[in-house]
Amino acid sequence: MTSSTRLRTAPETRRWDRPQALLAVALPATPAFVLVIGIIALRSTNADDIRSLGLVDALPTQLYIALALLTATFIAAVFSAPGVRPVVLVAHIAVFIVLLHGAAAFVEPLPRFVPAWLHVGFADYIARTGETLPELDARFSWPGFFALAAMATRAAGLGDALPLLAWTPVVFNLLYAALVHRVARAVAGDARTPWLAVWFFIPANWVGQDYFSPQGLNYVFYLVVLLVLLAWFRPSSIERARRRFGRRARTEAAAPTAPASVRRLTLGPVRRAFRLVSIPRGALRHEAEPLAAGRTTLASLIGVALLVFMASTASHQLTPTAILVSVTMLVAVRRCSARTLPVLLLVILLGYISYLTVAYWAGHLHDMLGSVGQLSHTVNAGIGERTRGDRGHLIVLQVRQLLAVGIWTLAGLGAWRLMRARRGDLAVMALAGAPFLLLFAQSYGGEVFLRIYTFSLPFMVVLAVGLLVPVWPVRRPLLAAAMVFVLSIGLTGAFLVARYGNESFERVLPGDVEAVDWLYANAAPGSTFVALTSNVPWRARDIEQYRYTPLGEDLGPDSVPAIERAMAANPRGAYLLLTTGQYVWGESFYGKPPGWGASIEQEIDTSGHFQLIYARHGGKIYILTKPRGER
Amino acid sequence: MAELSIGDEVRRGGIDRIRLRLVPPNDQATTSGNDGGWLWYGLLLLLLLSGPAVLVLVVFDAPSWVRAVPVFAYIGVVPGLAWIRLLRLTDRFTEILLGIGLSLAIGVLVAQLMIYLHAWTSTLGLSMLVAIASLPVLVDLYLGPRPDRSTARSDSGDTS
Repeated sequence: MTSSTRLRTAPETRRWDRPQALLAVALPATPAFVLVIGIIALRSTNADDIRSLGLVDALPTQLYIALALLTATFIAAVFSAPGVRPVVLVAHIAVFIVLLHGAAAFVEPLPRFVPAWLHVGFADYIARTGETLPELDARFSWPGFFALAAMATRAAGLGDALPLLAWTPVVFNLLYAALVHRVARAVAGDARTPWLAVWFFIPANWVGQDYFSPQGLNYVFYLVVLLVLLAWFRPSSIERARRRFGRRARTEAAAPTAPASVRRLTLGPVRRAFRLVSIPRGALRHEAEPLAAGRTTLASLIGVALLVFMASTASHQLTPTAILVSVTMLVAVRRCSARTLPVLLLVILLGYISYLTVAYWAGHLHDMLGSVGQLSHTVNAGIGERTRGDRGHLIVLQVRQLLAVGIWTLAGLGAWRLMRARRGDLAVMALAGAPFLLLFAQSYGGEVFLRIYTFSLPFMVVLAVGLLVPVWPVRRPLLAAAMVFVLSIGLTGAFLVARYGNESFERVLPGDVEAVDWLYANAAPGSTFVALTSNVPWRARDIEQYRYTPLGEDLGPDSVPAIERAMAANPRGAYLLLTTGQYVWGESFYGKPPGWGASIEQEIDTSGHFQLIYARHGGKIYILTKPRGER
Repeated sequence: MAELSIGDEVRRGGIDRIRLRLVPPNDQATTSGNDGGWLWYGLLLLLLLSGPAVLVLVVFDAPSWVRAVPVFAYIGVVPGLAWIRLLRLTDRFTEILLGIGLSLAIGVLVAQLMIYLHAWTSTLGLSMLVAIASLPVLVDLYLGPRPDRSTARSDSGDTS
């Protein structure tokens, strides 16, 4: 070796080794460090600082720095560190989930989100009685989740499921992330795409269906069924080639095309430009192969998918339909070799609805089928009617819409770029698009947009990664890593607004719970609880022993007479519950003027028809002493 | 790997080596405890004995801080994993994920069945889960250790 050679190579070696040695130490240490910093930052956050933009109004800067550091080391691990152990990447992902999806649990003294408290009440009823109440609520016709929660909490010695509420989103998201990784691995050609897909999935999953709910559990079922089909029931390259050659032979026999040399001469400038963006032949050439398995294993795996689907059918209205639509789409594009599976799924679904939900649909057929096919109504309900509230809430809604459109756009471009690189995967594209068919076949009204986004997300993120890194090894790793970093930071910031933007009314206030507890301790069974809005943490217990009447958004200038009518309707007595959470909900969600709650309280006090029997920490309870019209 | 510097690896085409380290290729069997060694028996015994252990905690009404985690872990993992293990999948992580999904599904169906049969008690539900989980483990013990089925990517299209 000459001295000149040494001079050329030696500095290069040192230059490379130093950052790598630094990474080798920093990568395993960062998750623990960030977790500690993040928890300290979150615990030091004052929940009372939450304003109309939600949790972001209150979060300290240290948390953002910690998340940025975590993102940087994760991307460095994926892009540049050879020999990095998967456990290091798993630790990054776990900390990311804990800090993002567990943020509210660290900041707020009580579990967030009133609907989750209601689900505790449903599980509590089943645990006490061993029965359901389909006449009371439609969700009791699909009681699987509540029954499981009732069985598990009682077996665990817990009085109810309230202790599970705060950390359910973290547990569910850990499961989702693991399943998304395996789904992405089943379809991606490289080991790193699944890691990046999971990293995008975590902040992109802002919809908040991962709380203590049937849909949270059913998302696991959805991913399990599709994982089984994607990993084991894809057609192999041999099968695809056989089909392709057969089709081509038929096409050429039917309409022979001009020789390539002649076609090239006739290409005009427009067609040449079109070819620059067009998708080349063989765009799906490198689709992933299925995992090999024997006939018994394949039959058993179909059994697993069917059993999971049965559990889904018994525990949620929409998810089984989403599974059915996705599986049918896979079969339609010939990416699922279990071609009769959709028929089996349909039979199970129809069988359950026909026999075990009669108590519900006998009186609510219009509710179930009224929206089917009404696309314009669904779009209006999803975009128009949900876009209301105060300024902060409107900003949150805009961020949510931008986030959804942004992810879908990135995924669309990613699909195009993957196909240009001949790495397209028809199964992923089909599954990303299939949930949009739910627009035509559901009765969820406007909320279905959130569900469509959620169901398509695992596949959208795989495609979005394809836009940034269509082929590994990366041609320009620094540029690709920088783009991934910018996108991750953008997604994380948007997540905090989109997910926790409604925290001003989605958090549960201790004063509200105190008032509700007082009611349960003192109200006679059979009496009615009246509230101005539905944002009250009640019905977490004894749901069958009281009547609940949230008056709703149409409570106008004649509010006091409306309250009196609702309270006078029950001869066994009624209680009016006024809480801070209701007032914040009315202002933020319904766009009522600031101070509307105080003015209603004043009207009630001056009407002379009510008696205040409880007032503590923002909660007030009244009884009706002299209904209007009585002397 | 250890004796090579990272720079050396990259110059020798280290990208392929990175890939090997990040995700074991499917035809490299990961140790899934199916080889008949102590791990195989240990895992089966754990699956088999954890059920009665959890049931004892419930029947003797142990305090919730003692039994909550074991009960949730058992209901959420064991019944499904016990059945999935019969498939001899070599990717242990996928096996566990499918096991969790199947456990939750079995839990939903068992709990709902008790409602329809008007036979609701949490102890009965847990007992049913223990029975469901024990059956495949006993079958596994009876059949003895068998080689893993390959889950290598199929290049031939032959899935038999």
